Amino acid sequence: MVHRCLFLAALIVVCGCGPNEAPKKATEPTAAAAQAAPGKQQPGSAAPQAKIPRVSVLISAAGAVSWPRDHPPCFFVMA
Amino acid sequence: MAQGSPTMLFRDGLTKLGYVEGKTILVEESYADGDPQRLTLLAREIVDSKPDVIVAIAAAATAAARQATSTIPIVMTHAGNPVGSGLVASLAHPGGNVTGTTSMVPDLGVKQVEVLRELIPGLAKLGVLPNPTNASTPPLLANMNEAAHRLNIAVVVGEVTRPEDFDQALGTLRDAHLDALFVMMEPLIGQNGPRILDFAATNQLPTSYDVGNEFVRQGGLISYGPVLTTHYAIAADYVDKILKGANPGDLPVQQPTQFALVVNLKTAKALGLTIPQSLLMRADEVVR
Repeated sequence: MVHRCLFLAALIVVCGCGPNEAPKKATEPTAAAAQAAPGKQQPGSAAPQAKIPRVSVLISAAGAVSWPRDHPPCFFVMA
Repeated sequence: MAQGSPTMLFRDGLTKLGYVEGKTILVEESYADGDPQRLTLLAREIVDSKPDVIVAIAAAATAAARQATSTIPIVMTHAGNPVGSGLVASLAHPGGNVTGTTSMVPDLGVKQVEVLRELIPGLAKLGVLPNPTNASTPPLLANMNEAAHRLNIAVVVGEVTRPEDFDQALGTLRDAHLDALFVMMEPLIGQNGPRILDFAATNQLPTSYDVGNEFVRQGGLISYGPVLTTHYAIAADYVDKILKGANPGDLPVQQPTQFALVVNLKTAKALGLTIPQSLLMRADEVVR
């Protein structure tokens, strides 16, 4: 019986919480962890450069073609 | 008159959505100059450069881009028959990485025949010049045949699949003594447009196009079909949605909603035809 009580006490110490205690959320970093994390924004520093989205337009026809704005040549737009 | 190009209209669309080129979006253009091998090569190069979205102008570019990637989002513009050519699973639920606009209209063939009958009340024999290897052609031809049959109009087809086929196809159509010719526009036929205009003029043949407003300005009689210039702003809208996190496979493909009727009065006069007032009133452009 004494051995069993000692085992339970040891288990509580190792786990760090009692049966009615909630575990700490893993998503809440400590201040130290936040400072150590690479790439973390520091207060007062400049905002990081956002990636500019890139769109590639692929056209099977020739590039020099232009036309009156309301009258596209069909062979170009259909190509 | 202001000049336009597909990419210019696409860029205008992005600007209207609030994008600032060079600051909030980058747009690059690649032209294959009509060379299919170069198109394939360019598509691979684009995919290797890992853009966020590929915009493909018309069916050939869409097919090349789709062949090069199944993961990078592709926005197609006025691709003829994207379901028939296997680019998307369906218009409502494209699936995969391709969405955008199609130039195909289910009942356009019926409309073409009706407009021709209105123009030529005695129309009894109609010639059709299609390229059956283009995925857009079979449904349009079937639709047209159905309408012609209903109106007791005989249809004579002169098919072309290669430039060398034109001699035989035009010969077949010439020998059939047609009342009118309908030209199903697509790249191969478009590239031979001047030859078709010569054929029609030589044989005094009223000629109608689906997406052929340019050829009507050059001497064709009439065209009725979708206005494709509107598709580039729609492409910008798709790009915006995709950049904001939408899955291209979940964005339905849009079909044409605007159509244009173009009539050439000079050609009508040369053919001895009087364009009915009802048709002239509906025309979006009259070439005088």
